Amino acid sequence: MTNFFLKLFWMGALAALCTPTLAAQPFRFKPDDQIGGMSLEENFALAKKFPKPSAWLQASTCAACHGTYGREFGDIIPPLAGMPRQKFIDKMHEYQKSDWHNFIVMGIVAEPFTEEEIRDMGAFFEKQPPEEWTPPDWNSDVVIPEWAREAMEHPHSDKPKERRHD
Amino acid sequence: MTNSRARPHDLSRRDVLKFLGAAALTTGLLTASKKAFAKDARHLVIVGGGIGGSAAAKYMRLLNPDVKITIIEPDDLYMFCPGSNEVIVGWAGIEEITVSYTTLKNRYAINFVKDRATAIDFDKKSVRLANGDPIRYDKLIVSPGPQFVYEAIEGYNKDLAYGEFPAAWHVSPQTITLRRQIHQLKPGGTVIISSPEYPYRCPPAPYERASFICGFLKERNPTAKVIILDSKDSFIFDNNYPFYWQKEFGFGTDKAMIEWIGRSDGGRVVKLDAENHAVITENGQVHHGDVINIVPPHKAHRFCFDNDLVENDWCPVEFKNFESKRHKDVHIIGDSVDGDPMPKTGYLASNQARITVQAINDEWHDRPIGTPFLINDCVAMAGKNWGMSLMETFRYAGEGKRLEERYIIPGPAKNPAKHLVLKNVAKNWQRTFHKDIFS
Repeated sequence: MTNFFLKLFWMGALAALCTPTLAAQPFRFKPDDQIGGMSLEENFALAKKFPKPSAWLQASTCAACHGTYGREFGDIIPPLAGMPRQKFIDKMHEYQKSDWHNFIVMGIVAEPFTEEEIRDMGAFFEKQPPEEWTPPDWNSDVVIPEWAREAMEHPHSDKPKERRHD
Repeated sequence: MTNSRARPHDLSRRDVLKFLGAAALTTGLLTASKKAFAKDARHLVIVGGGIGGSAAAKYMRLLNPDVKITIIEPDDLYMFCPGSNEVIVGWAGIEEITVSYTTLKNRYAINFVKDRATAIDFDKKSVRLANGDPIRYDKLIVSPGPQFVYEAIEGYNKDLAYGEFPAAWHVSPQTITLRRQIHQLKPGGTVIISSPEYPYRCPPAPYERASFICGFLKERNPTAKVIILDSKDSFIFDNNYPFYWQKEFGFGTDKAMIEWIGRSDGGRVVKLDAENHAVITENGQVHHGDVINIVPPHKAHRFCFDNDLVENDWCPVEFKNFESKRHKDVHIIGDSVDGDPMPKTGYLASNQARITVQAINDEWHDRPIGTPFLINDCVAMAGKNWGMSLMETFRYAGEGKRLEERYIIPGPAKNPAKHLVLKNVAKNWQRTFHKDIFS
């Protein structure tokens, strides 16, 4: 028993000795979530103050990731075109109500949208035909200029390799 | 979110034919409209065929089949800045970030004038080309990108940037030079990256670049070192990058492959000593580098200065429709805009383009101009297998007021697999983004 308290004493002394050393080299960066700008309440108050943005505009803010009118069938990012309205609404509610750490991207995206905005987007995407917007050969005529040729296809490239036929 | 509908590679031959038929119909409609432009059709003229200008052209066509649309652009191709850091370290080929204007021309009936715009005549509503020809407009959208102020660093200039000291902040021969320098760095060499004060194009990009270069060197040249000299005391994603660097490159230890010096510790570069291959910081410290990559401060494009669109280095606009506060019927989008709190990103340029064309189209149809709403969902990377994302939304706060921002920048995830997925999201986003603007 005495031994145990002695051990505890030495451990405490060691910790006390070490603390100033640790404090002298603080790691200035914190791995915390950073949340800022206006609060969610202010965000919703502002949304209420002005006419709602058009459904076309709201839905178009999704385009950079989900494609024009939600019509890109990406390998990771799913299309939105043709998604049943209620499924879209339910998904957005799930993102808004759950802990956003549980989702890859959409948890932090869905947060500031109002009910009306979500309904408008859901109705917009439901109407879009679920067909890929981009024709497969849309960019096949690119000729890389002479000055840039040395930066073409590289063994380290992580682009999915196309199958070649001899 | 998943969608159970078939993906293209699952389609049957019949489905493919059906799909091609639909595509042909869309193309046909738009081409027909090109031939049928009325003599009194309105003319939207766009200066610059980058992300902002091209998105404006495509989305105006989606809203309005009858308007004539012209882009003034001297280049035949566009090379995306997003993805160019991958090109520098050889993780992507330059063809993966290069697009042609063919689809914009053919599918959306957009007219391209291969020249440089020089002067706006606001009374006659026309814009003059370098060859002297005027082009009349009903509405003008100016989307020229930023101007790099190389001379803000004493001893630095454009010639040196195209020579031995590439900035590579826009895809150009400078990008290729930097790529070559990194690939040929001597064993144990030092790479210096100088990051500027705000505002500049793509705030996380200097740190992504440093991180990529460090990852590349760890495999090929592990005694080499990367030093970031920063004109700021904090940076975007500073809740992520330092932790990745700690994990991968011993950041914060004696054996660190990467070092970050903030402004308070003398990180702000004020001078380039080209002869001795060194930079000098605000507090007089001299840093020698085998590769010196200075990201220069920015201001609005020269075209904006030449045409009275600038106040305090940037173009003031009304955020309802991005119309210039100085001249009517001229709208400015992208990196030349005084858009604070919006950062300067391609993502935002594309959303600004959509707001602008919707507002112009509303005005032409005597409808009230819609309320703007913008998002910037940045997906950046720290390494080949490590991605991260942030979300910013911008709401309209009234006439004459700046937009109001809300943001979330998640710190590192408990489950590292999330960052691998986010890397794949980032690459997927790049490909989709190219298509959203150019296809």
